[in-house]
Amino acid sequence: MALLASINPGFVLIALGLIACFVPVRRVRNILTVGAPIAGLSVLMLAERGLPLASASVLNSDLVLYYVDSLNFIFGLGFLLLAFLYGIYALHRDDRLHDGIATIFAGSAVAAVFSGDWLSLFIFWEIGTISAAFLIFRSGTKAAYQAGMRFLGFHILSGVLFLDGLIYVYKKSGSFSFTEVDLISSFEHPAAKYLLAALAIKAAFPLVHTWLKDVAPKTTVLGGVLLPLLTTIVAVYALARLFPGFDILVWIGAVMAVYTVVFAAIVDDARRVLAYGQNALTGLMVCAVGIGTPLALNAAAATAFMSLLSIGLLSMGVGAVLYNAGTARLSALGGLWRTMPLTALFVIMGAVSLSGMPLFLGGVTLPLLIEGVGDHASLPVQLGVIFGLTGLIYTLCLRLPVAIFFGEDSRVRPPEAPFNMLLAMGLIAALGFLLALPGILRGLGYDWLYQLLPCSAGVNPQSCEVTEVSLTGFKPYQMVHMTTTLQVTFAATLFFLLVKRLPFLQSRARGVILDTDWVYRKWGYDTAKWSGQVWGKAGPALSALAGRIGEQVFIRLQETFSPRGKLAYGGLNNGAAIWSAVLLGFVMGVVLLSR
Amino acid sequence: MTDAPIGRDQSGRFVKPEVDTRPPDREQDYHPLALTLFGWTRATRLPLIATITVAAVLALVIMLSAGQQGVSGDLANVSGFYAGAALLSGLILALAGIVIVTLLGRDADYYGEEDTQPDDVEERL
Repeated sequence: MALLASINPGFVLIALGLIACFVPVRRVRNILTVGAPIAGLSVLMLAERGLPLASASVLNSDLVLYYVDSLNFIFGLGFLLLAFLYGIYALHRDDRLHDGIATIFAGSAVAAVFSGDWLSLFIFWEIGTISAAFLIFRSGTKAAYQAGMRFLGFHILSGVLFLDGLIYVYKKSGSFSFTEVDLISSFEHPAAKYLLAALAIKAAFPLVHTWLKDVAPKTTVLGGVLLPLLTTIVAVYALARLFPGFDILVWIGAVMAVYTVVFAAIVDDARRVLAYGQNALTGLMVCAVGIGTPLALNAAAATAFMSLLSIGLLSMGVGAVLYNAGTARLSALGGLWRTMPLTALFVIMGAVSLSGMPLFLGGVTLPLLIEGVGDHASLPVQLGVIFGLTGLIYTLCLRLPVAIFFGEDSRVRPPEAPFNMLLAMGLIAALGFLLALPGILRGLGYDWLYQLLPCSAGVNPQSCEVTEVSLTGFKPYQMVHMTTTLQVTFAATLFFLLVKRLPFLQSRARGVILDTDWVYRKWGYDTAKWSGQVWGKAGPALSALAGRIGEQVFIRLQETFSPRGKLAYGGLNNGAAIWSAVLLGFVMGVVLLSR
Repeated sequence: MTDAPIGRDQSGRFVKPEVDTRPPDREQDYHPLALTLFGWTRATRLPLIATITVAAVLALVIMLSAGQQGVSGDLANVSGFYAGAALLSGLILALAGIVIVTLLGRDADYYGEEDTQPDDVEERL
């Protein structure tokens, strides 16, 4: 039992995922991919909190391979639940490599959050990047290949920056331990700058967010459920571990939510809508991490857990539509409730949950977020958060389901999703409902969820020591909390209905909306291409010209300074020695004064 | 300029009427649970009823939210602040959308990747 308790649940998923890659029998593979997260959950339940449970010595440094505390527990639990439901969702697919690699990807995210030091986290993060790239390439299109290469470019850069930060940490402290966070308690130390830059890419901060909306619509149907969620939520976890209470994150998070949600409201591809929506929700979590009070950290963790289930459910619904209808373009869909009513029902449940309605998961997490941010943020930040929330409800909870299932009838009549997909969606919907029940019995419903939050009980991470306020006493179903959330929900709904009746307020892009990736995908690419063409034509002539100039310069220098040169003759010879001495003295003087 | 007669263009020539080539909408193609679960959405007055209902509920929520949760600043403590801010956000969102689509909207094949259907899409249709 002690041995089992010391196994990082992520290792279980990675090992079983690797085995699944080589198992040709589909049923055995299905057992492995569904069973791996269950095994991981069982192992996690045995873990003792606050102690290094597994360690290894690498390069004269002790790595903690498994560590559980109240901050990483809820993230890891959410990942394992999503991996399990994903396993069921993907049962219909007979693709040996995809099955195995998706499990490895989920396992790397789990292993990363349960790592007890920064180097272990980095290693698992990079395993996750490689496996995620595979999920994009497996899509099989040229666009997916190019998007996968861009994804790798972004994430390798992120990895290099992270490693740079770690080297600074190691150089200063001789350790990769989480306890060395004092080094990065401010931006004075370069380690903080490098690590934040790395996490900015992973979490898709504004200007470096484009990888997310780029890969989301191009990955496989199944990979689209896991990839955007796990990649960004691991980054939120790392930010909560490393930078709680950093003011700059409050503003970055608010800008992130505002900027990306505008794009979510206009793009045409449903998977891109989800990607931008997830980006905006990540912004709200980043904002809460930046505020850094225990309540705000709890809000960030609860919102992350909620997004894994609610956006996971929406992604599964959109995936089911894409799988059966062959497209996820909102302009090509509409009226799908006629043949996919159960998928429509589950997507609506996910949307209602995300909108913060009572008795759904969002109903117990969004009040926490509003209170956590509202407590300490300035008015502009609060307005940004309200804008982000309104936009999320408008786009993900209303526009997306209405356009797919209830918009103008496209006469597309895809069959209902396969049973396994419906089962996975039904289980998520039921779980979200169960976790939002009022605490009729102690330890059930949202009480259970709240007990898992980082700053609630048990061994708290260092992050919770920012202030001494506790979560005790927060009741999401008090009128004061419910009405605040419902104001945003109903106002967004009212505005959506008004827009449906007022065509001059409607905007829907049928094609591409340029984002900041235009800089490298169009301008940068075209400039590089143009430079290549210019060099191809003018290169030989320019090379010859440069060669001739270099040759002339060399001849002149030789004529002047060589032993047979002009300076070596007569009186100039002595003059050259004097001038050399003067110049040397001047250089030495400059060096002396500049030290 | 006068409107063209029905079935003709501005110069008076006959034009082919647009034909709906989509398959017919037959209830026998529906899922057995479809009408039970969502048949009510075909009511033509539903959007109007929904708008009025949501507006009424919103008004009720605002009235109930006299003691909305703690926020800093005088403005944020005004009853209905969140509803007002959300409505304003919605308006800004819609207007920003119009501006962005106008300025930054391009063809679907702008980056040469219009066809992005993954390999694991069902080939039944």
